[in-house]
Amino acid sequence: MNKGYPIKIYNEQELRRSSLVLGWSEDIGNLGRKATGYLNRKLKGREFAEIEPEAFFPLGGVAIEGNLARFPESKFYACQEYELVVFQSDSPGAEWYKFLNSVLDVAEQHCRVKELYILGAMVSFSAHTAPRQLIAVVNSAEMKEVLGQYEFFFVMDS
Amino acid sequence: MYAEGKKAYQMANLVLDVAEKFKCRRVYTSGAAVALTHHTTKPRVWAVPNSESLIPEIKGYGNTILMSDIEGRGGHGNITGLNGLLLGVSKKRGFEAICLMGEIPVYLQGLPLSYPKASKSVLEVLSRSLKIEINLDKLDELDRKAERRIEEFYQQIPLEIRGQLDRLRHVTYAQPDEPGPITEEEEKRIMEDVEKFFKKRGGGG
Repeated sequence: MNKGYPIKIYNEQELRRSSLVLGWSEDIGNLGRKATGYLNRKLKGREFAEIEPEAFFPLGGVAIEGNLARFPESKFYACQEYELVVFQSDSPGAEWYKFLNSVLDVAEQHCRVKELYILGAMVSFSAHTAPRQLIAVVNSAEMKEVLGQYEFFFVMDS
Repeated sequence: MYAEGKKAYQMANLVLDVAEKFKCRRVYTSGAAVALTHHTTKPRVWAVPNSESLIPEIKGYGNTILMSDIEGRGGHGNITGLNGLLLGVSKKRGFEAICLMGEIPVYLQGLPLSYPKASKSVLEVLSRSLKIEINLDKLDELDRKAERRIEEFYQQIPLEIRGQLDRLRHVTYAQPDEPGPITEEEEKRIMEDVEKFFKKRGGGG
């Protein structure tokens, strides 16, 4: 962990070659939150680390959503058996670069992550009854080849 | 003077450190909610919990409303400052927390007057929640004094604006699906008139 990054590790994980899946709370259709939440439930994800909010979120009070006070959360969950790490977070209001580096510090130094999947929704001109298509933007030729094997993917280079 | 940002976060955590030390399970914060109400009506208490499980309990308090009961809010809003931050940090640290906010009429918000009526409403709810009987007689006495000063101020408001404000006597938030006694347009006009009045008075204190 780099010094100065407010990362809290509650339990060290025994991961050898894991994948990290990231989802943001403010996604269209709640996709990021729902998909990562589903993974956590089904694969029994256990919270093991978090990023402290003070450097990244405005802390002048709280927002109320659905009658409840909401507080920014940035949490890591480990699905040990599947070599999978799930990161659920609100989008930071400041210091994005530092925040993302904090995420990658945990991935690299505590989870031995070899690949990252960032989930999100995309608005498109399609009917709600039409089959979904997934669009993937990748940052390596290797990943492009792997995802290109699946029919439902439309893969683009970043 | 208010703590802000990182300092406020640290302060909220310090408060909860003490709460933890004394084995507190729940945190209550309180404040004012500026509302379209009249000073002759009993102020309601807006309650914001930090956990879904507290909602049934809050609904049983009486004279208490959730954000979704307030017309036009849709269950959304903000609580600024430590009152709000403590709810959030409590959630993060595993404490139950409820913010109780007493309604203060919109036209009194800029005045250097205390409003014991709202304090009383909040304390009534708090005593129900904590199951502690609190003698509020002293607060009634303060309320009577404050009421006289508020009434003096109220009579100084130009008749036309006062006429608009008098309509707030009948405002309710209980049935958000039904049309209220004042329309949105009227609500806007009342706010504009009140602002104009305070500007003329030189800021209104």
